[in-house]
Amino acid sequence: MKKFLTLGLALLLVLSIAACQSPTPGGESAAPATDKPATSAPAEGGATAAPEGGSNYDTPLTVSMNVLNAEKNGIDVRHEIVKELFNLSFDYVPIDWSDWNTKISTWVATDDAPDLIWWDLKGQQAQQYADWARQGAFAPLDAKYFNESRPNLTKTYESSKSIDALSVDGVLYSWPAMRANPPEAQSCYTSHWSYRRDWAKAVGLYKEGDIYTWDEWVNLVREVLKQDPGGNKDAGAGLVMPTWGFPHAAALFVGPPAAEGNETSSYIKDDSGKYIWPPATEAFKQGVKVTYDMYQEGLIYKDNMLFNASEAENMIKSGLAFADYNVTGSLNDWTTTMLQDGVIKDRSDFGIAIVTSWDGNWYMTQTEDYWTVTALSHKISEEKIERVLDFWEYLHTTDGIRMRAWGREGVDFEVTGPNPEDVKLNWEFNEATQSYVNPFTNISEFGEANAACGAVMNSVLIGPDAIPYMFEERNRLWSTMASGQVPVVIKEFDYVVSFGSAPNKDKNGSFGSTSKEKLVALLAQPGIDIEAEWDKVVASMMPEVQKVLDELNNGELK
Amino acid sequence: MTAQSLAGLRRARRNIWREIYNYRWIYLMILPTLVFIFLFKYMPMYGIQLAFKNYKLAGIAASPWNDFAHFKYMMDEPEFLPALRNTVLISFMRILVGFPFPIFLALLINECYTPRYRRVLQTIYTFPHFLSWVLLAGIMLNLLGSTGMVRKVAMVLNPEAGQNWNFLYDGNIYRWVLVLSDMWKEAGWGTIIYLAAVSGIDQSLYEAAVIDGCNRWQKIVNITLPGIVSMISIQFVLRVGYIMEGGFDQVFNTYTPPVYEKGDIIDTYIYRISFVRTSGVDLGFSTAVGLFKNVINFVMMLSANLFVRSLGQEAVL
Repeated sequence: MKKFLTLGLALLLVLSIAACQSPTPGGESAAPATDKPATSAPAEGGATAAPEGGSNYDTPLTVSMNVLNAEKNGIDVRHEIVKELFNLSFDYVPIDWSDWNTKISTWVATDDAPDLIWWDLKGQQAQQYADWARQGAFAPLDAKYFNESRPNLTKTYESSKSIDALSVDGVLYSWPAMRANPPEAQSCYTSHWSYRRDWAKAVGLYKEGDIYTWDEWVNLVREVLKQDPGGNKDAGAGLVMPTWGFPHAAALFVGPPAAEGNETSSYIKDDSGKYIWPPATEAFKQGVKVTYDMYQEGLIYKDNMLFNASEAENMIKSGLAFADYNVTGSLNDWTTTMLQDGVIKDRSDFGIAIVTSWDGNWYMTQTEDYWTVTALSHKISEEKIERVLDFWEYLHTTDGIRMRAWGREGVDFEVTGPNPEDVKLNWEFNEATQSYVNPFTNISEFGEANAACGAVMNSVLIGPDAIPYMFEERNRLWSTMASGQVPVVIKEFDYVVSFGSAPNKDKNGSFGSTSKEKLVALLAQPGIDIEAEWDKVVASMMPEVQKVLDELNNGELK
Repeated sequence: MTAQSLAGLRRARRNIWREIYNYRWIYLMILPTLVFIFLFKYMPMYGIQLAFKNYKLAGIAASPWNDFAHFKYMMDEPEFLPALRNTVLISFMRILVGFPFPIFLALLINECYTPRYRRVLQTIYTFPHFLSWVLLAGIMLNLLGSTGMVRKVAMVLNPEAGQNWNFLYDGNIYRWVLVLSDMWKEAGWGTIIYLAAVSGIDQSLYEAAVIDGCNRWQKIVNITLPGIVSMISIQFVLRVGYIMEGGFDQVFNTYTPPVYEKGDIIDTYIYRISFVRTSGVDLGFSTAVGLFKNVINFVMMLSANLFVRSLGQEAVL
């Protein structure tokens, strides 16, 4: 008995060690990759870039990539189509919003990254990205990949501002998933206050068109808390924010100061063209004071500072909070949940508020022209790069857009016209909600992570399965921007300072998280002279900040 | 060396090998553990050199030495020393309050004469150990947050004081929140080993004590406590060896910027500078701080061991 037990334990140990071994670079789950190049790279642009009548790729390839909602990634008809056309399958590595950057940092630093590294890369991580690229963490995306066989990718390669920003020493190391916003949006970030319109009506302070002056907005929040139309008593909240937006969203994002955190802003130029540090400006200090006063009054939910996941979203969905600052893309999902749970009676009970600042302007924040990027691991084989790029190109074509959004032609949908959205769906139709039942558990699977966000989102925007509410609300924002109905000021995105490199800037960035920590720490102290305290914070940080400013203003930024 | 002593040595070696051969299956059974310890505890020590290098993706060996730069940076960093101080202080508070409590609880449970009642109590006390700090942080927020029950009670008792009273945003209170919530979570689990030690005490001692007229308190003081004192000393030495572990899970899930000054510990500090701030992951710096921590832990454990031994008690080493 002892012998068997001992041998069993030893065997178990050996097996567990073997199981912990990393897969061999370029290894495949279906079959081992060979050095044999793909027999063809069929991409003619336009409507069809994929091979007709099945795959012309001899070697089956499996590409590992990180995705959100990995638990929802089953094998559906779209995977079958991709396998048929490109002989390509995916090995998904799960990430979550809260650990996305942490995991990527760890993977790259330990040389254990998936083939496709999908990254919410913003200016704050730009130096890390460049540093890793120089050390050879990523496969270069040379110009040779972008030619007439991949017209859509080539168009982006030649026209996107981000291509320069994402290039390190002249070499591109990651591919941007372009935003699908119309030109009038001017690459502005879509986060805004989404609020309970029905509550605003209930307290008698609703403004037609959802356009509020600052005083009207603050008063509205105050009245909602006082009259409690949701019947939440002490559990109710006024303004809540996601962790990335707290506490800046309350006043700093929607006010005049350039505030770190809303996807953008680090150092800005003053009227004389010199770089300055936003937290040291009078406008920022005023924003700090407004935020502090709102927090102390209870307009901002006091325990928001303890949130570390999706608590703000949950409070809105459960009808506990009046307004949340978030991306407008969540509107369909949230209102669907709220309708199902009986929190609201109609989608229009929850919508976007246009809040002008205390100086009368409506501030919009510009950001990069992409959502996210996908870098390729340095371990990825040339064959995989070619195959993936062919697949990405296909996702930009009419066929690719339809495949990703609606599945297989003739089964899931019928084509009715030349445009991607000219389809008739064969999906089940839910009479109760007056919408199609999407058979795909993860509809965004072939989206951003596969660099096709822009092309695909455009068609979903007007496709037959789309719930129009979110797009209507978003279009209202952009049409308000374009109409001049409200004086709009755009906080411009500075690619140079966001992606540029200088020794002290590389080391400390914009000190954004430190200044945010210090602001949050002050919020929790009642009865202080917040302006004086903020002056002290700025004074304590300026010696280090000044080193960066000196670099920027002395032309040391590369 | 004489021929006689050489022969004795050879005989002893032969005896060792014979012993190993005789108990070969027993030795084989510990082989997986030895392999495990070698692979996952000793081999990673190769990476300690990262503490003295600027890590490059090319690998540890290819990374250049950096003249103790990480340690110099550590000492220059304004937040490191407060984090070090907090770690030691919070850990010390945990030892001061949290270490004796399971002993006290074990003695109380041991005094319950009804076995079923004792088992129920043990289960209730042990249960919180199995809850994660993520979950407990949510419970703590609901109890101690701005709209939590505790504050509501405080406002009834003293509206003025309760108005701005928040356990989770006040650094001085926060430390005690950490210590007491940890004690609540782990005390039941900690009693297991002491109850096991108590069960090993010779029952005839208690019978003799009854005949001698001892009451319950005297039995505890004169029999039970002396009977488990060697276990207490071993546990104490081991606990002191973790003095630099401030409880990452607990602090990370409950702390906020207002309490960084009093609640930030070395582990959360490393996390923040590695993943939250813009400088990105610096494996070398993290390793340096980890090494620093472990050296202190090691020294503290040796000191505690010496201290316990000087008291004439059984020590670990």
